Amino acid sequence: MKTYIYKLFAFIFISSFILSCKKDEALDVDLSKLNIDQPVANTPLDSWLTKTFVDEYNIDVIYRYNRFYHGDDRDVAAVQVDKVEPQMQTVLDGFLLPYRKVAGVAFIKKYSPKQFVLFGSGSFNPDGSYTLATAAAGRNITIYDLNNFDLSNSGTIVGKLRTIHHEFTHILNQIVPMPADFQLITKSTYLATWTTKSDESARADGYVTPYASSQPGEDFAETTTSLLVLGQAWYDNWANGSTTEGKAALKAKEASVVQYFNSNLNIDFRTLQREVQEVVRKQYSYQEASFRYWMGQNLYKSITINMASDPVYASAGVSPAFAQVYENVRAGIKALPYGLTLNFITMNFTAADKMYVEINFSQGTGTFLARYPFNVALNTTNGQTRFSTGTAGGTDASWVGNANLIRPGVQPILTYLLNYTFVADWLPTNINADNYNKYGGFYVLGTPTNNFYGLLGQ
Amino acid sequence: MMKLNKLQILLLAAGCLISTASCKKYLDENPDNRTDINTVAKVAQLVTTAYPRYDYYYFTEGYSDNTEDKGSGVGSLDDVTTRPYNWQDVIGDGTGSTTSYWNGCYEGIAAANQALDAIEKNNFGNDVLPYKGEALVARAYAHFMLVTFFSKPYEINGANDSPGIPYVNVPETKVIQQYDRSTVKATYEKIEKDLTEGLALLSPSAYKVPKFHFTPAAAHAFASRFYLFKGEWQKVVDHATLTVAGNDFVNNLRPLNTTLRALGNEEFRIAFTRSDQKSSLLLTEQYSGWQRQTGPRYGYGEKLVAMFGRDGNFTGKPRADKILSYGNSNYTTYKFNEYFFKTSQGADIGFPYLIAPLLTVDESLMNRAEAYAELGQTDNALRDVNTFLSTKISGYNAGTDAATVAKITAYYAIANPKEAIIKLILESKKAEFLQEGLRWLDIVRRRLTVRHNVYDEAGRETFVELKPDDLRRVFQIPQEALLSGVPLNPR
Repeated sequence: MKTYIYKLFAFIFISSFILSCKKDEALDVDLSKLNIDQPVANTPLDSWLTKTFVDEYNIDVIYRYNRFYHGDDRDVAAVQVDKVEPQMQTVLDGFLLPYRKVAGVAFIKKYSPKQFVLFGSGSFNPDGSYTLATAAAGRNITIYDLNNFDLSNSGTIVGKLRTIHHEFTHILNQIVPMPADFQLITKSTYLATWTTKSDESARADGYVTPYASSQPGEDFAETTTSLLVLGQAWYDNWANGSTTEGKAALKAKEASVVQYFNSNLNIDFRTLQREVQEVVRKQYSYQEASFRYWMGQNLYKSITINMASDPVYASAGVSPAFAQVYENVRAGIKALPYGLTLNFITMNFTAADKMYVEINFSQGTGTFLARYPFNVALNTTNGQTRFSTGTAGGTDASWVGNANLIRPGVQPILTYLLNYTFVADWLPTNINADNYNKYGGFYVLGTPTNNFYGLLGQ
Repeated sequence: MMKLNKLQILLLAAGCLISTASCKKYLDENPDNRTDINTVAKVAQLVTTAYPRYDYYYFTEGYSDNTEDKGSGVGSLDDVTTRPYNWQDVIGDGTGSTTSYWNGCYEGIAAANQALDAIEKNNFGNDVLPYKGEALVARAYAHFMLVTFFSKPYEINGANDSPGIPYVNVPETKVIQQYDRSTVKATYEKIEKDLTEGLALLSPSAYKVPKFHFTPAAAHAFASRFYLFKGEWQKVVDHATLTVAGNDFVNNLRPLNTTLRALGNEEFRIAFTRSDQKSSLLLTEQYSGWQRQTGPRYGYGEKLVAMFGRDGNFTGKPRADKILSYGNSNYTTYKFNEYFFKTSQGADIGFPYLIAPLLTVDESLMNRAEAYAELGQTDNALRDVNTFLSTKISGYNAGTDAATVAKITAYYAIANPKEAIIKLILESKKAEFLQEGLRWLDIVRRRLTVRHNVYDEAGRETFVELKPDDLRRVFQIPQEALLSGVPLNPR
């Protein structure tokens, strides 16, 4: 310690010594000619940035090239001017506004990074990877590689949004430390040589990306970002495809992140997740955040419709057309001469193109199943779906005996499914934050008000 | 610090003057608070300080090929890392300098000599023998490390008549004592004498915390290193075998791919130099800033980290070491936990220490493997290397990953099995002891050429070599030693 202080004194001494030796001479230089790239300071872009970011959030956006901001050991290209506004609009829509809405005006104005620095190329690392962005001191975010930014490509927008949320998570961690328990979940497998780790190996070890396996801080940021930007469906699917230990680790990490936001930061994570997802789904139409995409991936194995006891139907409402179908089935089964009661209806997706409707019904205290097979033709680009009659998956009572017995009662829903072209989507549209991502369904092409939805199972 | 000390002494002296002025037996008292070494307990305490209290990590790692240039503008620059990388003498006696290590060794030697002098002059009986042995072996160890760093390397069957280092075996009573460097041969003879004599007296049970002392196991580990330098292969085998009980090496090596792997990063750093690591045979606390070297320009970077990956060894599987980074290219083994000794409780001012594992079972086993290879006992050598690797490689499978002559001669493209095995041993040690300084011992011992990359300001990379007979391979003796008639090494 003391040596350092001496060094500092020595340095101050030497520099003041040098200063005092310097002779001032009048220099005859016309500075207006010397500075050949005098920037124009009041372009429309500048005034937009001032109005949107400086005035509102006290955020300075630096896009004019300055070597100081990327360090002199790297060669980094300047950002093209036409990339600045689209990128910053993304920052506003996908990051600032959701946080503003959920965490509050005071929070986002106080904690949002006060300096955004934009560069055009990536900042290449000696290990062959390149840095997409950095966060520093809880105050600065530097974003690289913007010259590839393309507003017409939702993939690149989402990529940049991930970067911003990743860096902001670091900033949150710099203000409120990340939970200690998070760092212990996969404590033994962090390695700085993440560039040599494959996606599959990262997944098996319980990481959302190889980069997450480099150290706990990055892991936390990557996990948070995946949940917010890529969405719960992506996260669940990723966890389902991992090993048993990996899935447990991913789920534990999710719980830790939610806990951190809810308790340590007092931000409702599920609401924030919904706000960000709404932007990703609706504004950027990101395919991999759509219900149709995940149905095509066969992530969701079942949709359970239980109008009698699932409270979501009371709060979010039911389409009258489908309510009638459901009621007809309930009444039809009751009308059969066996004393039967409908419990609920489940659509089981055994594969992306196979489904069976399963009627769960009771006779006295006994519960029984009746199953009706369908083929599914789902277009993952526009979500259009046709159901057609399939072949039975077995010969036991549920497929044959029970199915034939109560078919007269069930027929209305079978007919309903066969009659229309549906579109797969996240339904209902007015779902609350707690149930966000947990419900999905189908609406009739051209008539969104005619729809059905249910609790998703994986 | 210095000013504070002087002030204290002055006050102390003033206090003594006042209080003892009227005492009749004024001249019978010692004029200061010196301790008479007149009990076995005092001898034991004194010998505890007979170890070098400064590290050799900066200059041995910097000189060796366990350091690389990460690039112009990358990382931080500091004389104690920059000058060794460029094979320049480190100036001054600051933390991490060759001079601080030299002084640390001779301070340890002085403590050993003082203890031995007291043992000579008092009749302590047999109880003192373990500490006498410890003093002798510690003295031998310090001199051995000095002669290894500051003299030309010992040549097996050679004349070894180049200057050694002053072998100090009596307490220094003059302010400036004159010393003779004698020869490397003579220095080795004295080391061997102290080692042999001391080793016979040691006891494993004489200490509360044995890992910080020369127990018989630690002394055998040192002996295996010493005889490896001397080329007495059978003695290497014999001593290395005695470092663990019942030849049970596999359970006494660093458990990198099991116990240590399962730890989190901070747990690992605390555990690695803790005294419950079975592999560590001699630990010493050392004043050092090595653990604070988070991002030196010349250090553990992108090229070196590759040796831990799947392409780094013949098994095609990665080693299980922790690989952490303080940001791009600034890798760390994270082996050293800092123990900060606060000199002021109110402020964070004090002295940084680390615990250095100076002798390990891992090194001893590899010493034995190398000696077996030199003796022509290929099977024994391979068995030892495989035991070693079984605790280092991730997902090690004894059936498919064991080294065989066929595999390693093909992997290294070296036809001679002995040469190939020795190459494997040296490479394995290079990775195992990264950031621990031992690579330099192998470089001088086996006359390896060191190759360093150098980036210029435009980012162009060139290479420079330090050949076996380069004079710069012998570290420079401190300028202060000139006062004692110790000539500097030629440059």
